[in-house]
Amino acid sequence: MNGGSPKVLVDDVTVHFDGALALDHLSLEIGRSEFVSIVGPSGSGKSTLFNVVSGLQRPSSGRVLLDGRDITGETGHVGYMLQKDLLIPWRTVVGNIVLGAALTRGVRGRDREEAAALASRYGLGEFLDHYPHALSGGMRQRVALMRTLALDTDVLLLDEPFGALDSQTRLDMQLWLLSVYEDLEVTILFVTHDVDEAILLADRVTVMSGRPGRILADLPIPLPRPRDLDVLTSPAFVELKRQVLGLLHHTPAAAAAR
Amino acid sequence: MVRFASRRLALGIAVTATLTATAVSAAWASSASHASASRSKGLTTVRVVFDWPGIDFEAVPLTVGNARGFYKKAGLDVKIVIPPSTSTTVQMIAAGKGDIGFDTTTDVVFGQQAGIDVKSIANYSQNNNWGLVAKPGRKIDVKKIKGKSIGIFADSWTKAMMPYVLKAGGVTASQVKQPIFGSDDIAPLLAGKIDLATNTLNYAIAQVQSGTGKRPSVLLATKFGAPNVPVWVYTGMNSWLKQHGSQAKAFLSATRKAFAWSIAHPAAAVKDYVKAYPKIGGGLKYSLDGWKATIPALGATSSLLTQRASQWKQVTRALKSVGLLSKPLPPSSYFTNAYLKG
Amino acid sequence: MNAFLRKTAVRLAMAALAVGLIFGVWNLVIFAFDLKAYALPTPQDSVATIYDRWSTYQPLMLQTIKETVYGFLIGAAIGFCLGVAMAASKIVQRLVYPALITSQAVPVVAIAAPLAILLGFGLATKLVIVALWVFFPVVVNVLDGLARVDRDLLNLARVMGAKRTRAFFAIQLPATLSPLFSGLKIGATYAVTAAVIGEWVASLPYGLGTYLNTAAASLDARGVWGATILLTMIGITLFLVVTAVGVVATPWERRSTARRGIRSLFINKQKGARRWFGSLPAGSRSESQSRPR
Repeated sequence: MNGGSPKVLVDDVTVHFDGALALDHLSLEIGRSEFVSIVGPSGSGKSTLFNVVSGLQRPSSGRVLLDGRDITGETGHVGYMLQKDLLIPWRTVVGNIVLGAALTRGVRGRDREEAAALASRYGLGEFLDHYPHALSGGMRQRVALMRTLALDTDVLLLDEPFGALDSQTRLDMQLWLLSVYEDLEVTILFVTHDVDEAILLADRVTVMSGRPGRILADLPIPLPRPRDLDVLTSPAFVELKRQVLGLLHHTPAAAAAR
Repeated sequence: MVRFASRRLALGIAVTATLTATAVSAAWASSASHASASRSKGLTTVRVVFDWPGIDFEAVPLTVGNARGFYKKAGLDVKIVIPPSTSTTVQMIAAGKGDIGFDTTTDVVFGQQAGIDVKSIANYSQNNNWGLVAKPGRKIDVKKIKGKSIGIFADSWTKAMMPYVLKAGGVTASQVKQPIFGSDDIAPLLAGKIDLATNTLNYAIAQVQSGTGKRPSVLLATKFGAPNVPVWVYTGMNSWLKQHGSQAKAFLSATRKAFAWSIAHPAAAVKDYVKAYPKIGGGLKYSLDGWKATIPALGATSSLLTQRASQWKQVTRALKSVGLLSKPLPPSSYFTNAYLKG
Repeated sequence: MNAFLRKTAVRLAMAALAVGLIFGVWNLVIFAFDLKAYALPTPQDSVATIYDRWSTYQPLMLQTIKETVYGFLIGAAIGFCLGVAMAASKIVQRLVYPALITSQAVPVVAIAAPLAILLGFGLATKLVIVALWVFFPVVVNVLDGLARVDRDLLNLARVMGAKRTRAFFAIQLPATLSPLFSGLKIGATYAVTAAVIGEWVASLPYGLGTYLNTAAASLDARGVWGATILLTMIGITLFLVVTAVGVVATPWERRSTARRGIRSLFINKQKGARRWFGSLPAGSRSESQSRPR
């Protein structure tokens, strides 16, 4: 973990849901411009964690701090992206990217310019005026990510954003996300089921337990950046993968890693 | 045309009257399976199609004819068929859903204009008893109708008479309001929704009397220039008459006797009518008032039912003068007294 | 422009063909059933009647159009507001929905007469009757449209910091447009018939519906069918107008791209790039590495 105060601090958060414990005294620190992947079995409360950090849900106890400021229960401080692109059908690509501004302070000319620049930079320059239904799934997720980036925030919560894409597109998107991350200074929390994806993208992989949600382990990923396809088949990668899988499935290798 | 209708009946009339297309097929279904000359108990059935979508006291002679055996003695069984709206009587006998029609003189003229060979075979009434009606105690001055609302019906007789009202009042159609009612314009008059109503006075008087106990103010249209021609007639398709001449003659002869009896014994006649139609028709008092108010229009007993060529000349002249009839035919095209003999 | 003209010409030709087909069947029916002119005149006669009596028909037609259009607009507005209100509150929905369905199930001819006694014989009664028939499909469709908005999208808006009303106007309201126009098209088809029924009980001022009544009373079949053709034309025209407005209002339904607005002329991508890439010139990363998919 790098020095200095954390960008995002999840401080001893507990969430009760329908009488059951969804998150159990969970604490997590994310540093500035860090990319943290979160893996864990289904139902481990990953989405609940995101709901709490984004302000959609108030925890039963605990707080969330952003740059040291308490933002528990407040929305509008982080960006959020789901598997569903949730693009608005009657807005163009540019119109969707500026949605954050449109919903809050109003869209200025500059917002559109920034949106157009962002889209053009990442291959959608010919599609600025297209409606979502005319784009492929991969392009739509790209627009969704740009929408998330365009918000006045530098913390992004990405909840399995590439889960609905085919594996070819998914790989493309992962490499693309890597390049975007390397271009811009954003702090990213990334939830996924795909261990390869988790390791490829992140600086740290956090393993959560099943319900109730707790942090089981936190594995640093010392792979150098910038990363590309070759990383996926390097020995270092394979070793990290072995460790993560062990943590996920409680094998002796996991014990060795701890 | 005027008819008193109980509230429920008015509702039923409104429902059927607005669905003319389905209504005609309903009429086809409702006219039962009687063939034109079917026999029941050895009697020949004659279907008489009424002029209004609800029976009322003008059918008294017909019911008396059945009840007092006049038709039976002539070998006939008269069935009254109710049409689905105020303007389908001609079409029903033209389509064979009735044998004899009870209709207005104007319907005969318009029928012929439309190419239907329908003939009037007898007068029902001899005078024009149509006019303006106002609430009891209100005076009617036909010269002061500008800007007033006058309730009318959508039938051909009203269409023929209204120009005389307008002329007498010195107004054009756009200078008065003429709301059209489906079956009852007396109720809105009494409720104060319209200033004047148009109607044949027997109905107006009967309805207002039974509703308020008082006589309405009335003004006969003949007093301001409308022709004094009969309102109602009995009709038949020429083709049917030619084929069933003896039936027609027998019918009219028996009907004349029934008329005479009903005029001489109005209370008993109305009792027969109410007995035959207990649920509909307006009740005893209304029907008695109505029949008594109808009798003056029927003319002298000696000339009951008889038609004159002059009356048809007057009708066609009047219709032509108000632009409703482009080509008047000679009276013989519209009527025949041939079936009154014998 | 050429393709547009050609498409329009084809559409007009198809419309003319459809009309020709209807007239053909009409004549055929008359011939096959040996219908007399007083029962059913030919379409040619009916159209000729419209020409001959145009001075009579014209004010009547204008009156009926007025009732139809105003009643339609009122019904649409009420339907829309009611749909939104019902979507906003489950209580309102549960209270109002049964009343709505009853209002449609009761035969309008039964409501019409007492309505005329209440509201008189003029425009008001007719507007109520037309609005009554128009508003229901609008309510149902607007309600459905609002229900279909993705919960996650509304959550996303919240996460982005949007207030509830802002999210409503930006996300939920526009989501009603497509279903709204479906409902409006249905309502438009009914509106004329409702106006005619209204005219039967509230006859002032006279319209084509009253004319139907009086013409039928004098066995004037040509008058009746001339008026019927005009009424049909009014109904079809209203439907087409509503459809056209719907097409303009929902461009994303059939276009891939939005029309370039004035705003697009003022977008300076270089200026915009500065936020993201600072001193990086735009396009410094090779396109092959960020392959568009």
